Amino acid sequence: MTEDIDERIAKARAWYDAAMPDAGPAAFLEPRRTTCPWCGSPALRIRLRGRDLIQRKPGRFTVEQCRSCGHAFQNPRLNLAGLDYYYRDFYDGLGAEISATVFALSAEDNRKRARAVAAHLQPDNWLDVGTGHGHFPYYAKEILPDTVFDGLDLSAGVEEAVHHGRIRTGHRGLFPELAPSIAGTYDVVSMHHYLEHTRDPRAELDALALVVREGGYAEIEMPDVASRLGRALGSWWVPWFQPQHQHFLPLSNLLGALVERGFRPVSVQRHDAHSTVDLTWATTFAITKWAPDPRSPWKPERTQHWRKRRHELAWSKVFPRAARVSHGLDVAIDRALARLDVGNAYRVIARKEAR
Amino acid sequence: MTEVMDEWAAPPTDADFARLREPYTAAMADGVQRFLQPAVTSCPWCGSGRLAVRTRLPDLVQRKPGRFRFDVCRTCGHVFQNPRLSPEGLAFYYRDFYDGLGASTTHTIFAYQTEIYRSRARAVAPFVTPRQWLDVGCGHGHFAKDAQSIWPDTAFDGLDFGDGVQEGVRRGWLRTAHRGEFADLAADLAGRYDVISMFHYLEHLPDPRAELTVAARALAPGGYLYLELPDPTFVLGRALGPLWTPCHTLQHLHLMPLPNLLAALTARGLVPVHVERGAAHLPIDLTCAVMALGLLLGPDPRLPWRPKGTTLSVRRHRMVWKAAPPVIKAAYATDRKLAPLFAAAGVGNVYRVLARRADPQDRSST
Repeated sequence: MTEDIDERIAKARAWYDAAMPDAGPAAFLEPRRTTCPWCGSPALRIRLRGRDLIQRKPGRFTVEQCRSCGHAFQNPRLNLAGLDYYYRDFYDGLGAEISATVFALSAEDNRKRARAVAAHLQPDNWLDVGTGHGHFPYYAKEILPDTVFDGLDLSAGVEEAVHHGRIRTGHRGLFPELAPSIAGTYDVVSMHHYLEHTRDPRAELDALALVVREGGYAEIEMPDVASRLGRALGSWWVPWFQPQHQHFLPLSNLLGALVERGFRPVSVQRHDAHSTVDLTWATTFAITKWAPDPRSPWKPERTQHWRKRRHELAWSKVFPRAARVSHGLDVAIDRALARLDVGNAYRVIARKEAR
Repeated sequence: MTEVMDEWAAPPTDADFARLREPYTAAMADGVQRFLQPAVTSCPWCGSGRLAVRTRLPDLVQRKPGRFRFDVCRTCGHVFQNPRLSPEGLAFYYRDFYDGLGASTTHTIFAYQTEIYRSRARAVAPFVTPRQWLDVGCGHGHFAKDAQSIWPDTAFDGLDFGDGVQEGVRRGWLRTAHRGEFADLAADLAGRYDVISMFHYLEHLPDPRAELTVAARALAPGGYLYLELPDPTFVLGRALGPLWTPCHTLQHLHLMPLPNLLAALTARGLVPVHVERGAAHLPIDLTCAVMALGLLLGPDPRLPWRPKGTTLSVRRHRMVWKAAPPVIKAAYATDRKLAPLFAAAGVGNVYRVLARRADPQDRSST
């Protein structure tokens, strides 16, 4: 595993070349659906046309929003080959280091998530669904030292998290498929920025209702598409996170779905779930757009020295300054949002009631 | 048949009113506050704690005593009676509404709805040719009577917990009567109907979603659930406040905005195939508001749940209802004039949804 980075990139390039269909990235999309997947209404409008702004993999994506119930969703959505193509080298592989750095910045957000639940109970055990490499349990341990944390994820990161001692048990696979085997066994099940990545959020919520014990709690945090900031930044608003995010549930729809499954919402946080990153991310998008990494294996090979230089300068000289400004603006916006109690995400804590 | 109709249509006599005074006095001896359950602090639909008062009102239909409140959820838009009437309370306020003293009035209202009933029956034509149709909450079966002229080969059955449903069979309006709660009877009825209709029914139930679950189970894949409900988001309804009929009908426990209902249907594998908003509007808002105002100003002094009539209250009642007809007429004319405007804007006081039960194997269609 001590391969040279150039060798790894060359290998990755071969994979990406082979994976790209002859018809281009459009072949990664399923047929467009004409009705809302949440409520069935045919009254849809286009909310966003965007691209992959982080890795700059090829392809164009559309998010539509239902005029009846407000549900927003990727339409046409990625097929399984497409998901594989766009997730590859994001959280693992070539992208592992970058995503680990980004996750490390969210330490305080993770502590907040743990504190929000600790206000309601001191759980014996806690399952974090979509745990990735186990960053949340790692920080949550500081707040809840006596709680046993388990993790569930589709990726190999969950095994690594066990290896590093961040979680006790790692469940690898799809939550709806694993749920029956762990039914009723957890005091708390959390889904932080997870539901929006799934293809069928209702099936995930069914699984959630199965796994949380009666009297236990669920904690869900996800992007809030009602955010004004999202309108202002358009496709450069990071919560759109195309092409990974498949579904954006308006708060009311999520709450309704929880109540239907026997949960009673005990806390809804809006500004407390806001992360002050919108403009800083927009700055990164600008840099990756105007000074892309020439080594990206999913792009045509480019070896000109100036491209390499431009990429280096952008990150070493331009980004630190731009980020300082944009972070300052993010903080200023955060103060304004605090007064309105809104943000780019919401967090719901709900108690599973006895039937 | 005409004979029985006349018996129904006959307004109650003074003796009918007087006879009921004693039982009502007894029922109200401990006050009417006990008919209300404790108020809830979170939305029964989505659980959010962000509630606002939508309207406060007395009983504007029967003028029975008591004060009521409708709340609206600021998160999901759900409107609901809060505090809610207990089962005992509902029995008290339902009494003499569809039956007894109220029978002649409600019968007259239902008898004049032929065109509405027919339009409901017609609306399913593009989707299904019904063979077996169950109308849940059918009352006496007035809908089935009028729908038969649109679908002469269809068998209409009715379900209701009142005894009107047996009356409907006796009159030949319904083929079969199922008397009781739908939830209790549904298992025996499963798979027998290709259309199950619920017109102005769900809003009367304490848990509308549980009823949708029952309906979804009772339908075979490919079967249809057909709903009509008041739309709490309707602009004129909000403007009329307590005078808007769906609010001042105390039997209405929940008023669901369309998106909430659609999502609840989809969650149960019921795919909405047809939604009508403006086209389903019933031009009665101002008419009913004026009548409610009349009942507020000049209640019938004979009503057995109100203090005994005095010379003054008798005279006031007579004066109010002498002056009322032209006002009601004007209100109705305005309602008729507004109807096409609402239809053009795609809004109305009710909405209709036709939803098809999807094949459970086929998750992608939901």
